[in-house]
Amino acid sequence: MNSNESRKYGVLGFFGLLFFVLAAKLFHLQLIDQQYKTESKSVAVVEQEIIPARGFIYDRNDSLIVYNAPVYDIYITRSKLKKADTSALCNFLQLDRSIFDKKLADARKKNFWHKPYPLLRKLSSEDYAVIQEDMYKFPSLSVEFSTERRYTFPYAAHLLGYMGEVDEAAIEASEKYYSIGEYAGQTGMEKTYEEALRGTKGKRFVLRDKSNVVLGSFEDGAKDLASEEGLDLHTTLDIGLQGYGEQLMKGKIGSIVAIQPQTGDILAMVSSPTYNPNWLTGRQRSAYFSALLTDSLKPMFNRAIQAEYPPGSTFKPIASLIAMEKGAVTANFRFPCGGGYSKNRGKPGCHAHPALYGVEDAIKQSCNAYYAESFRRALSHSSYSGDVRKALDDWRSYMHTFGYDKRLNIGVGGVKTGHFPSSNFYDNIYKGWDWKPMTIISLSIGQGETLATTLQMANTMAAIGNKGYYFTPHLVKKFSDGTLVDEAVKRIDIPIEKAHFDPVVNGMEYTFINGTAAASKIEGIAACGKTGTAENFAIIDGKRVQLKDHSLFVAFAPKENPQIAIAVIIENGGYGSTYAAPIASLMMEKYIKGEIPENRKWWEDRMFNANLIGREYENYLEYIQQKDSLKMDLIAEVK
Amino acid sequence: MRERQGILSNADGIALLLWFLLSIGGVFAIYSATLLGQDIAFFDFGAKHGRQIIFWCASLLAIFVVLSMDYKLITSSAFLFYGFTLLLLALTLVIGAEIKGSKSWLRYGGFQIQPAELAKLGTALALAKYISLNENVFRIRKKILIVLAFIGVPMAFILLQGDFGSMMIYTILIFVLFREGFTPVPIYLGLSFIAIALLSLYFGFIKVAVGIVVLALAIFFMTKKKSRRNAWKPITFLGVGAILVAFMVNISFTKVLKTYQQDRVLILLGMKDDPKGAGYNLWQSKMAIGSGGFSGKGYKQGTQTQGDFVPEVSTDYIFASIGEEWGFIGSMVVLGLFIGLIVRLIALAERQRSTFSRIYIYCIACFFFMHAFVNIAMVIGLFPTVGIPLPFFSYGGSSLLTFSLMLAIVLRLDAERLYILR
Repeated sequence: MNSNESRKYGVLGFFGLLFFVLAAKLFHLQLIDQQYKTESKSVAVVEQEIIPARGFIYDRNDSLIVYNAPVYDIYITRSKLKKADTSALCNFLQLDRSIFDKKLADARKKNFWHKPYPLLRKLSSEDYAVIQEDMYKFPSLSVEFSTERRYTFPYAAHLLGYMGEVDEAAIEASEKYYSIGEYAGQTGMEKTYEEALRGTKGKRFVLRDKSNVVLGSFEDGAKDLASEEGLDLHTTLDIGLQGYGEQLMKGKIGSIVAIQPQTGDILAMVSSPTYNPNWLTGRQRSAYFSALLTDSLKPMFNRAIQAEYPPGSTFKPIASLIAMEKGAVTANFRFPCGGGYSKNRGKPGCHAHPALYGVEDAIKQSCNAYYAESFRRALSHSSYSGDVRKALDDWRSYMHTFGYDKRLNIGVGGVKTGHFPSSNFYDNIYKGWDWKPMTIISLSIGQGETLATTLQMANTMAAIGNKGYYFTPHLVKKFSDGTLVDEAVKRIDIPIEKAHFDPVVNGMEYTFINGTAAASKIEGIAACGKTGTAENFAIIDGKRVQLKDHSLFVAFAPKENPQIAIAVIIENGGYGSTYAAPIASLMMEKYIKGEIPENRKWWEDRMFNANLIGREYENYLEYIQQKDSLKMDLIAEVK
Repeated sequence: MRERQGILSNADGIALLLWFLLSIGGVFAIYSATLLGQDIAFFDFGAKHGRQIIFWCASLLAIFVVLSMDYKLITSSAFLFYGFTLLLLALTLVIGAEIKGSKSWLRYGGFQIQPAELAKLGTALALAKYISLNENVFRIRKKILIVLAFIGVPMAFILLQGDFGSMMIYTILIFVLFREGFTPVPIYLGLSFIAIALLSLYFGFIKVAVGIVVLALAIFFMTKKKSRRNAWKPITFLGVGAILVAFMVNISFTKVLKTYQQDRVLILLGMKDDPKGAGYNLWQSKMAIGSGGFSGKGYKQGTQTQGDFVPEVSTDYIFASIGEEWGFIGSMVVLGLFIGLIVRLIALAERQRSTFSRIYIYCIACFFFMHAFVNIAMVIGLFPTVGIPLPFFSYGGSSLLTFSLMLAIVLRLDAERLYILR
């Protein structure tokens, strides 16, 4: 029938041979080899993980800002639980019976029988001390010691970030480094530098019997693997300045970014409203967490890097620099202002101010008509032979060198890029239209389609203070082992003639002497600044409504060899000189002098006490309790 | 021509009995492996063994349905079914769920299937159909390539899913081709390749290369002087090839394999003693099986498996539970049942008049062999850790149902044998 039928013996022979090998191995394993019989007398080796201490976080002056505190997790082992014990156990732990039953059901679902299942987590030393004495009465309970983050100061919550339980996706992504229930950094620096901070887990092998009693170490620990401690993180923050900024911002919505111009170190980055980082640790964590998440003022949103604002008049120093570099205007260029830009039917409008003589005056008086004209001249410059598109893109490339319209990676996630429109952007808006410099004239005064983050505005001040360069702003200096964290920190030179910076810086100095920020003058320090007011629209009930302007101020000090560059934004704060300028000047004075002199204390008090949002964050817990959510959330925490 | 009789009376009783023993044995093994010292009723349909009982009933139903199906439906839908399984495989690559590093599951609501399992059935059907339609298929190069493509395409898909173990199962089909007249050279080459690879990992490249040269020279001088003129060419060719293989294996071992994969191989070769790291599962399962001794510790009495020391004991490592609780006797019985099933399947295959039926049954016999061999070899440390279920024993509805379906089609084809004219 088939000539190949005899080949079945080949197939059978091969299969038979391999099965014979299996049988032989089983014979050896089960009948001959004594190794497994002696070792397995109901004893097994279990692997225990050694989780190393997480690295601390320090500020620039080596003040400890984040450390670890001991906490205790209570576990339950179902195989040792006696039914009769249940209610006594619930009483003992002061645990609601329904919650206890739910935990047990979870443990059953996940097949935890001999293995201890987490019942209560993160008990403080004090709470644990209460139950510790009598725990022996409940053999089904066991305790695991671990640590939790604590914060020396109630500041810098957005930057430090918080810890949280890893989810399935994170476990997969880490190639099973983490296991269920472990904590990892979820936001901020805790997340960015997670791998260095956490260190490397070790392994310990112990012998245990069937009911999980540990009998001793396996082979005297010969196979154990030591853990590697997490590295400490040294940040660029000045926690004193950070805290001072947060105090000043209390009751206001907005942000402050302070940078050291010579290094790019971020000294302080305040976003308000904020929260106490200690709120997101311990047993009350989820109560606070859900309250913070649902808060209409979004306290977890880092306004310094995640909010984008029209830079308004704070844009003008850059506008002057680029216009001079392009040869569109000279330092002595004058333009008559009659309360508005005459070449464009009075738009943009301008406030009443004395006649101007050159760039210095224009900055000091913040004249809109002057900037409209100098922007128009730059875009119509003869070198572009009438190509406005090319001219705008060229202007935009200068903006890029200042760090606008691009992401400044400072060491925490979520940094926004801001926006400066390109010619394509306008082509898409004015489809088929031949747009002209006049069409986009509001760009000249930092309004219109341009947006920037507080970080970008502060960084610009660092660049102008340095007269032509900056270091990429960053939050972290180095790890405790000496390795530099951010290799990406580099000096960026702005391709603008150094001479052009002088009139701009002088103009900014006049702002403090007798210009828009004269009231915020700092004694003994030649500070340079620029006020700004950004118009602010919102869609309310389908209508575009103009809200109260954002108050902006950018500055650096001192004029020569600046030590601090700063940007302050107070949302709906009105004129730049009302809140933003005083806060910026106080911050600079505090940083340079170390304290605020008596004669300026009233300014400080006024800022501390100004409350624009009508809510006290001091008593946040009370605020939550009013919402009656705390109790519910605490139950959820225990779940 | 014979009268057609009832469904069951034409089905092969021995194969059916073996199915029954294996699958019921599986349910009991899973029951023990689910308990882990807990107190769960046998008919608890929320637990693993309970769900397996439900799938056992479904499998029984599936066997009856297949047995009452029209024979022609099977043969005529072979290509269609193959195409359908390929489609599922492709779909898995796009929208599959990733579990334990391989993207091989399709999920819809609470329902999930592993298309690689169904693809085995599809490949067996399509291969049988194509070879039975083409006489002398192994004499025409183009047709050989088509045959190899039938096997290679699903393999490629499964490899892309990252499921190396399932992909490897398909290589056993080379024996089906061999039985149908394909040259045995690929088998020799494959086995030599494995041998050289193992040797070069164990002894290192240099020693193996020297060994190959010595062997080649020995063969050359042992051949008669007359035929040496013709012999030196193939000997040199094979020798150089072998050295090249040894070299490539060493390179790819260190450069291509990930560290954990290297560890698995090294542990297997006994070159790395690591009862706790990568070898943890294996060490625990060997300890469980080894401690079973001659007659085992008794059903539900295994200290290692019941103590939850062996991971995945209800699925890939189910044999560890059997070995511990039933001892050497139990392992031999399970091994014997598999040998019985495979021998019976090959006997059934050889008595078929239709080429289609013969090839299909051979394919199924090969698949059963490969699964049983690889799984048990893995559990006792003769094979690297790959996630391959033990047919009928490992917990898993989709796997039990597919294996039962494969067997049901065998029974249906065999039942038809008497009505097919030679």
